[in-house]
Amino acid sequence: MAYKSADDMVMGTALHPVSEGFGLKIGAGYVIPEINYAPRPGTEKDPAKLRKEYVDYITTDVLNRAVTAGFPAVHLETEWVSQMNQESLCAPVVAGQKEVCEKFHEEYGIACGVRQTIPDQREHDMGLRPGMDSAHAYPEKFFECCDFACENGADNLSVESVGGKEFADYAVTHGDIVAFLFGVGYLGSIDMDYIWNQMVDIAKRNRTVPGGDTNCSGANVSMFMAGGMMDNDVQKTFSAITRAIAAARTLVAWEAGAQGPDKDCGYEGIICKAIAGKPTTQEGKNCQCAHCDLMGNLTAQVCDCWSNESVEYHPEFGGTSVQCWLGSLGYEVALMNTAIQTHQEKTLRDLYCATDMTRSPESYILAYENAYEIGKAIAANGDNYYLRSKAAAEKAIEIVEKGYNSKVLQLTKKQYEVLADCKKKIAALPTEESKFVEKCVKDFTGVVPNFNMKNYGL
Amino acid sequence: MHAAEGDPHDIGKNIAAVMTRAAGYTVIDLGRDVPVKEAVAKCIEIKPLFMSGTALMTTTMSAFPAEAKLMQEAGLNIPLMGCGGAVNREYANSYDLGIYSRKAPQTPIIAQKILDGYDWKRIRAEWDEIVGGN
Repeated sequence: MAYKSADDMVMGTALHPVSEGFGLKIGAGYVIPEINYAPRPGTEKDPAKLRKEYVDYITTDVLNRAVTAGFPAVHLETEWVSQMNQESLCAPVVAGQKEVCEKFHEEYGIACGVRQTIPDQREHDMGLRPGMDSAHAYPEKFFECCDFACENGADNLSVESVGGKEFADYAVTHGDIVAFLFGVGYLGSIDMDYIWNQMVDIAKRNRTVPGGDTNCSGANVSMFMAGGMMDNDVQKTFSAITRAIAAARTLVAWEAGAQGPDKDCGYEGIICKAIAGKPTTQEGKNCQCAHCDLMGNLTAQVCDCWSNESVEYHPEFGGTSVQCWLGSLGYEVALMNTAIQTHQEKTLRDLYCATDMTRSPESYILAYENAYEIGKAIAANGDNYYLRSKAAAEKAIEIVEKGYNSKVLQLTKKQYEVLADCKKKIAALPTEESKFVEKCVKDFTGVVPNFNMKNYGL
Repeated sequence: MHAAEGDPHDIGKNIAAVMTRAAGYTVIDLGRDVPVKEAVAKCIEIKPLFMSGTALMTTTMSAFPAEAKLMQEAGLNIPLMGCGGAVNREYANSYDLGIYSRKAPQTPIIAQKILDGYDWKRIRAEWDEIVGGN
């Protein structure tokens, strides 16, 4: 564990800060707003239009507003649209954003940089590894995109990779926690190791910071489908456990040499930060443009960058959408930084945490003291992907159960039943990795669509 | 049903397919990242009750108006249902043939109306009543 105790973790400071872009120091004693955006429909049709949208409108608007409002630093995130897997579309955007950042940094002194998040378009039915997908060559394009991003000036290289997604989809829609454990915790980790070692090499060759990942296609889908208080399609005890498993998987990027900050939408970053001490981007109350969740304040507790998840570029009363949401992020971050400067960051952290901790089992396991315990369970199992994912799930179950039994955390009858069912299924699993894999291959072959061990080099 | 060209996000489409099948309809699931021409060619071939597409990205939902145009050029006047996280009712109603479904459970409800003889214009006009105002 990077930290001796959960209480050592605070917002804005990571044990291993990262320098990137033009004067950005992430995790070096202050929190930075991270703004993410999507271009308007139709702008993808030609390179000039797409460049104009991202560079002349979005990036320029963001930096103009940051300077106008007096925000000293901003991290931009460009999540590539699928069409950007062509160099003619992505290169002008990446290079153009870099130019605008440099101009604003030189003119106004603002610290800024762009995270380029490449698309992982690999399809499980066609094949995840190079040479397998003869129809689209998506695995090859994946690594080409890393090259395009880094060669054209990306400050940070990140991705939301899809290893294990075929199992995550099945697990979430069937309430099968073992399928999630095998797919995301085991196979997903193997895929992370495969792609991230190469991504780190590409990034380092080009002096780009290799950032990180998040389990968007698993933990985020699970949470999104679990929804709010009025939704019951996926039980929140189930989605809470998936989040803990996802932490064991997302950590692999940092083990492969990525430096952070990781990405936000899977919400597992706090667990990873507790283990590795690298900076984390989180999202919550200021990402309502993208989705509603039940932990809006809590996730700010130990963040290093604070994100809006994503917003479509369009006009609002207060400016363009990216300007409005940067304002929302920037002022929240100003509060965090004021707390840091006045040595009250632990007080603010605890207030953020207390505000939402008992709103749902998902937020309960992510409360920093609980997240730290899950981190310990993962770390205690070293580099065994199966055992550490299993331990993360078991610890999350234990934490939720204790919270419920002590009457701190409320659960519905259905949520408790699902928790008990997950506990029973995980307790029945073997302790040897080989036996677990053998069982899962037997149980899920022909059951989980597009399951192919060759996708994972097995 | 299909997830739009360039879009790998298909869990919503899969859920809608399950719910529509459960309501007694035959669903031809074309998968994800389906090229515009391929989706339209299948429609021309099988002449379904309606076609639906999902998109989670702002730049992939542009496939729907492109599909609608090709469908009309081929003389197909069936509704084209636009769905998914990036899509809203205003967008789905912004091109001929386009109708909207916000959530997977609404798809079989709207399908029933199409089966009852409602065309895309009537679905649009009575959408609130059809899906219960949500």
